[in-house]
Amino acid sequence: MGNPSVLVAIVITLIGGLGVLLAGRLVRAAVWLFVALVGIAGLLLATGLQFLAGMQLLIYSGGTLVLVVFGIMLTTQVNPAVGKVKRVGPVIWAGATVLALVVAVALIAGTAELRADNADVPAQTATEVDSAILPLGQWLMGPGVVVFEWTSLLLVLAMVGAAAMVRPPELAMTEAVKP
Amino acid sequence: MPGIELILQQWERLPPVGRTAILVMAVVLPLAGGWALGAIYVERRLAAFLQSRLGPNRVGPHGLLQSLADGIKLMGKEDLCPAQADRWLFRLAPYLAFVPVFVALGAVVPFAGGSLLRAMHTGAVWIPAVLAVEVMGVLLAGWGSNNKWSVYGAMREACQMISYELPLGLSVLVALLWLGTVDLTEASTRQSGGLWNWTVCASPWATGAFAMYFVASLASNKRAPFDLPEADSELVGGYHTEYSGIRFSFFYFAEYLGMWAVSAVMVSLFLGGWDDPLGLASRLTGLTAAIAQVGIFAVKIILLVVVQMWVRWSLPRPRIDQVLYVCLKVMLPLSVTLLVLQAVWQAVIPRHGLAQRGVEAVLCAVWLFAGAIVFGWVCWAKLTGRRASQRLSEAAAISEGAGVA
Repeated sequence: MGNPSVLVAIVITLIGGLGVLLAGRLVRAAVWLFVALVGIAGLLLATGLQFLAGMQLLIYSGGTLVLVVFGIMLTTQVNPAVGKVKRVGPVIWAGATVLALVVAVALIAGTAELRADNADVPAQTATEVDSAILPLGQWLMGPGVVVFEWTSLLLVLAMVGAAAMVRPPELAMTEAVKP
Repeated sequence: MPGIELILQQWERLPPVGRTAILVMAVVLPLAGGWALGAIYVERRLAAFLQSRLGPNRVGPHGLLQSLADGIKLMGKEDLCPAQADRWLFRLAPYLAFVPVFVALGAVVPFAGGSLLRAMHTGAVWIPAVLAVEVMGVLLAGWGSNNKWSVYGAMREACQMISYELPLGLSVLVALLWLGTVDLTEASTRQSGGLWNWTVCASPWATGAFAMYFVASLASNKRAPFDLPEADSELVGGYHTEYSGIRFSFFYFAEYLGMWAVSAVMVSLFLGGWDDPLGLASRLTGLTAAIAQVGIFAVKIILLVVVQMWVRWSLPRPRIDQVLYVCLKVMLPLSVTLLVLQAVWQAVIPRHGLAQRGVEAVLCAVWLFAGAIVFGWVCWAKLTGRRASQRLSEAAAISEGAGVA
């Protein structure tokens, strides 16, 4: 491993993932998810993908994760002790550990192969970064447009589902109104 | 001098991480802290001026040391944590609110030909991204406090920030479309050569996007009239109700550093970066050029921040539903329209043609005219207006007279 920052980013991501699994409260799990997402952004940054790292932070940490926390706040009571979740059992523990190890090995092997030729992050110029964004945009608007639209449909479905979950059941409403 | 050479040799030997750490601690932190203290003082004096008061004027000459005294007071205060609060989140939140703004400020903003710490070539994406992370800190502060006002403040913050990110991002896209780069340094370089080369003068839609970005940046920094997350008349203090001492001041530092960061993006993308309106600074070379560039960049940012403060002390606070209505039903459609119109504009009108030059000249004249009016008005007010102290003594004389009668 020529690049220690890649290793640091992988470790941060895995610690964040384990934190999500082991957190006793929902909001704390969201904070650990935040750590994992920042780790992934760091991984992208360490391998020289600045634009994707920015997008990762903007969309996942700043957008999606805030929506998740927002959802937790809407569906649970104000008292933070209420949002407690059940601790995981030993089987899930073992499974998660194996999965984390596999992911770690795959990530390290993958990035080592990526960076086998040059150990350091290449010093990119502004023009290089700009011209790297261009094919991404063309792919999203060209061959990738169907995938892109399907993804946004998924997000719409998630939003509708969240709204439906927060809505109080109508039966309970009418019963409560009855004298 | 051998001493300095030795130090420079040692400096070269340090690993990049160590060099960055030393730069952050020796240069960026003091600069950021000094900026926040100075901006708080200016804001209080400006508020006093707009409200016919005197403002802080006791600590040091003209009250200049007031912010420093307040800082010492805040550090001496007891660090309270509510009994039933989620202590872990409560203590983590101020850092989560402060660090992202600091990252945006120290790492990405270009002050002159080179950025301060690290050459991030995606500044236009990176700064909104790290500022969006700041929401997380405010949300956790509200949730961890175990206080209803705090949770309401945090919820408002989440709604408002996520909603206003859209017009903010879309108006940045208009500028990116025109400049063709996401690198802030490169964006400033492409606008050099005078006021008519700046993005605000490129097309009417770019001018509109500039106005849109300014309003959305007020909202993203929770500045009035968008300070609903901490509306003191409704929510006590919003998300920072339960915070005291130095943890409270972290939120304040984040706000003032955020004002600097969003203004820096605005200057780099719309207002020509470190270029003066006549394009004279781009002809300088060497150290004079660097000093002139940093000075021009800082003056532009300070002017924008003063306008933000002016807006804060002039406009009343709307309701939260009005704030969201304006974002989703007015600003979002408008900014999408601006983006489409700018794209059509660039496709139809040749970039170096006569029509484009004519529009640039007209917009340049409009901006100069507006600037002349504001400048003339300020001069007129300064010449004919009375000082706050005069008005106070007059008011005292009137009330004394009333008492005698």
